[in-house]
Amino acid sequence: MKSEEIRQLLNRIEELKNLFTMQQQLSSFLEDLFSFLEEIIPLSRELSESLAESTSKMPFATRQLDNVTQATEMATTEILTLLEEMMSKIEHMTDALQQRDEKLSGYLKLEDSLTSLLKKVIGKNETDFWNQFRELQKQKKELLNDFKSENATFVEMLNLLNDQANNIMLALQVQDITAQQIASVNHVLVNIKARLENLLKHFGEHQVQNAEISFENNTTFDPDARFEFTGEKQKVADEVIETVLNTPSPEEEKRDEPVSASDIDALFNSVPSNNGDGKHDEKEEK
Amino acid sequence: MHKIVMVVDDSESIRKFLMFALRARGLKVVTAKDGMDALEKLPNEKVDLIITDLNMPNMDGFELVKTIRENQEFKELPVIILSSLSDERDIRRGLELGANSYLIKPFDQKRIQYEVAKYIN
Repeated sequence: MKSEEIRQLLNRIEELKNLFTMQQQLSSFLEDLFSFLEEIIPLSRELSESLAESTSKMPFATRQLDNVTQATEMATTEILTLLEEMMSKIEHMTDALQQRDEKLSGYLKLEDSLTSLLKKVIGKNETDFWNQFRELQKQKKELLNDFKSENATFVEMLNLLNDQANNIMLALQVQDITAQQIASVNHVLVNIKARLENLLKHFGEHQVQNAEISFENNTTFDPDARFEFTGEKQKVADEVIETVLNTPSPEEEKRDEPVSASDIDALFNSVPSNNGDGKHDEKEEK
Repeated sequence: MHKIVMVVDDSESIRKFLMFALRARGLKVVTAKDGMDALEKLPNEKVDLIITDLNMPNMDGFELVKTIRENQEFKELPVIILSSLSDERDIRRGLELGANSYLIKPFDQKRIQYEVAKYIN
């Protein structure tokens, strides 16, 4: 053998030796891999069982969320009805107190003219009579002042109650917003359930209980609905309205003053009436 | 006789609140729970103005505004959109479809009364 051939043979032997070494390493790696797989199989079974269980619970979760929405909707409507009745009574009481005040003013005018008449009929020399009359008038005046002051306080309190009831009504809009947020969560749950079911098909062992998910496909919602009363969003909307329709917003019209009750009164006073029969005036139709 | 406002919203509490706010101003209110319901009721009522939500089942507010504007009988009817959708694209879309105004939920009672008075006049 030539020395070159011997060198090539030695190289081949070296390569073979390296191959055996690598095979030994690979064999060790494969052993590790097999033992890992042996451990992971029960784990994966556990995981698929757990996934199947969680997935089958989702319809219950969505139904519960729907129940929350329905219950809060019902309660909110009930509260609104009661508030409406309460505010109507407040208005009635305020009117009655104001009418009493007006009646009192009318009575005082009548009394003045009666006193002038008495002076003519009885004469100023009847000192005892006039002393008693003046005392009576003094006491009556004090009584009337108390009455008027109490009347004004009651009207003030009723106005405050009315404002507070109005604020409660405004705050109840939170139900509409939370209903949309819950619908959004329900939608996410439906999507997760569909994906988990798809995933479980690959495991093939555990079937999800075929319970119908309660989320209605036609439920609509705004996923970004937020209960914010800052008015910032409305300002943006007003700017867009101004740009698109080329009409000034109320803030523009009023030079940054908020819309007042008198502005609305003025507008409504100029509203002509409808000649329609208005047969559906106070009843909500469903 | 009073002016008639149609309130279109799938939320019962919002319909109720609007009924209260508008009746306090001497207006008569008819309600519909979605766009489809509104279109069914419109020919039977002498409605002077519509307040509509956008996110509703069956027919949404955008489709309702579009349909109203395409209808010869109702194309001049004032429409106010009242929605929690506050994205500029939604506001533009609503106005470009023909809505007269756009209010964001949660809304102020005075503002809604003001807008109604402005367009019902």
